[in-house]
Amino acid sequence: MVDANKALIFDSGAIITLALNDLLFILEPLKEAFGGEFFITPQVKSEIIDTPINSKRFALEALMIKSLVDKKILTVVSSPELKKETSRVLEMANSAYLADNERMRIIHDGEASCIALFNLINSEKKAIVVDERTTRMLCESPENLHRLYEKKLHRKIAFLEKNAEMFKSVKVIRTSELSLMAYNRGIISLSTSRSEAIRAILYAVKFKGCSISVNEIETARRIA
Amino acid sequence: MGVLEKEDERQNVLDILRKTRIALKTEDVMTLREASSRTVHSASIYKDMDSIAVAVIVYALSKIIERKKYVAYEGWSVFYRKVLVGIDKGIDDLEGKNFIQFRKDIMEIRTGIGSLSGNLKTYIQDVFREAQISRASRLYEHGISSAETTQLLGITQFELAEYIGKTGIADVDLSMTMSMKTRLNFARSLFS
Repeated sequence: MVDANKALIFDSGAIITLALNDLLFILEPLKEAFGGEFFITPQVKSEIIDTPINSKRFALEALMIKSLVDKKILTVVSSPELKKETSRVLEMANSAYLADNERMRIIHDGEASCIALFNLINSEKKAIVVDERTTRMLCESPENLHRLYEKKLHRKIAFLEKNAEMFKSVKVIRTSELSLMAYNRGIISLSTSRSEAIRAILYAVKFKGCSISVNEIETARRIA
Repeated sequence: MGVLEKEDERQNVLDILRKTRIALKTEDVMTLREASSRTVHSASIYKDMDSIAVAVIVYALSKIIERKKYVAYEGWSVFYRKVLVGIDKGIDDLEGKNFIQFRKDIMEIRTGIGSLSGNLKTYIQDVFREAQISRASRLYEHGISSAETTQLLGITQFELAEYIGKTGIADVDLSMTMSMKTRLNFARSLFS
């Protein structure tokens, strides 16, 4: 088990959304406000630092993220137990849906490792920060994911509900909610009305990959 | 067993390649797009690299044909001939169930870009990169995770994030898994 008072586990996409919007700066003050740990896994580190650091296009973003790890704002958690749990998560997720009697491989190591770490953290106050849609749907509505597969693939898809059971306890937030927490605390400061600021922030994260709908953004403007 | 060894998948790819060949000659962009999309279904289920390679090539060809300016570049006609020869060889080898050679035929179309020079090389390379990102986005749209799709297509998650942000994938009704109010309240509780 991993001991933490409170913890947020970041998937690659969430950090990427922040990096592409020049919002990485919110993580340090947000972590202080949160009063817990911000974790990433070795697989996620590879996706957001080790691989892009060698590319021309995204090396700057990778270096900026690396500085967050160097400053221990993001902590990389690695253990044999996490590796084992990641394999278990991958096995369950990638055997939950069958097309033509073939297992559908729907998630990869990075996302699986985030769920695995969530399972290993010994705290009630924890969540994974995931911007991509599939992992969120697997955790919150595997039935919707099933319907999506049947609709998109134009065939009957077998859904093994018991394999998806383990994901129901996983709690998910996105960079949209995280950015709103930052805005509410004055970490993001914009010279406009509250409604316009929320709209600007949420569309910005949406356009860089956060899976939030237009309807959700409009709801957030009213209630956040 | 490879996916192409399944008879229906082999016939599917054969049909796609035959239609691609005709569509290239008639500059029929819509048929090329439709052909590329058909391979996405197989790629989503089987994660089979042959289907993915065909999807990328056919989509890239549709973009090249659509933009027209390709013909002005020196070396275009040589490249175009190589593409047609590659597709013909691919069809022949797939008809003969010579799967190993088929893979080489498809790969040769991609490696042929390396022998180009000047603006055409840069242009075609860019189009193929865009095709990889676009096909990755289609797999993601089909419910395959972003890490899984980027791994399969050989692109970065940064590239996919920039692309999918401009699509309507997040607005699909089935994507709604929790009300905004509930999720916001949960986020607030984490920070309290």
